[in-house]
Amino acid sequence: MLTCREVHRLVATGEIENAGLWQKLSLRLHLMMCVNCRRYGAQLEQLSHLARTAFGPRPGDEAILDRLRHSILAGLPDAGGEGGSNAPA
Amino acid sequence: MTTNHDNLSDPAFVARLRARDPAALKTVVVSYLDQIFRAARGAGLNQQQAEDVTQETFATFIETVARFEGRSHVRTWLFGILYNKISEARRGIKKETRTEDIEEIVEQRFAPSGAWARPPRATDLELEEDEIRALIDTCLELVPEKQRLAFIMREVEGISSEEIRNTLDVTVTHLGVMLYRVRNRLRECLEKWGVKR
Repeated sequence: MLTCREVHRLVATGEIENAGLWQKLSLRLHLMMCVNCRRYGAQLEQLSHLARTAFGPRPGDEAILDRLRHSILAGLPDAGGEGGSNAPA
Repeated sequence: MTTNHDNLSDPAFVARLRARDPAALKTVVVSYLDQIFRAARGAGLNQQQAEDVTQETFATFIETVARFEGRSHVRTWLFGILYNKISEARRGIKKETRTEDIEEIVEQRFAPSGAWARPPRATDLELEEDEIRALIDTCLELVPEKQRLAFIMREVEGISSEEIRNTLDVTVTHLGVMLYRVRNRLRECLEKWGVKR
């Protein structure tokens, strides 16, 4: 039977993704019985959601990306630019 | 333009990239500009820095693409360049040197038996998008670039663990440790904020 310490480690490292069937079943059984580990796992999922909200697409990005796209493409070989030969390393 | 991610690893396409075929280069720019820009921003750079780093990443990519051998996916190469640019941009910023402290903090939550001694508390976070961004930025401010970029690539961009490992040149174990540290640092930080409310 997995301990809470083992469960939190499996989940937070992502090791559970590569775990075998037995370990995944053990994890599922533990989560069924342990409200604290369920809460921990739910909070990590919430973090993913918050991170996507914080660092995903934002209003106003399209104008920035259009400007960047135009500038970068202007530097391609066929655009008459030097293709980055003078670009910073 | 929609491009199949897998097509960009096709040997014929890689050959065109190495030859600096303009159409192939344009395909890469159009396919990955959004991700590179968001990752730069998520790595702790302000908007102007993120724009500059994005521009520099693609400039370096175009300049060095003849050396790209195609053994990894082109996105891996791009993110590798991005990581170096981010590190340069953040060079002057003080970061935590003892990032393993979060492991000690979390370990203290467990009893010798392995059960929770101090279990995670329920939090009630209802924040506006700007507040979430500011809070997470604060919580991640001192996290080293490699950890933060690994987290962004995994959680925000949904990039596979294998590709992240290849990009950052880390082992399976090391990636697990990095994700563990960032996730727990964020969780501990957000719990404090949630509890205060």
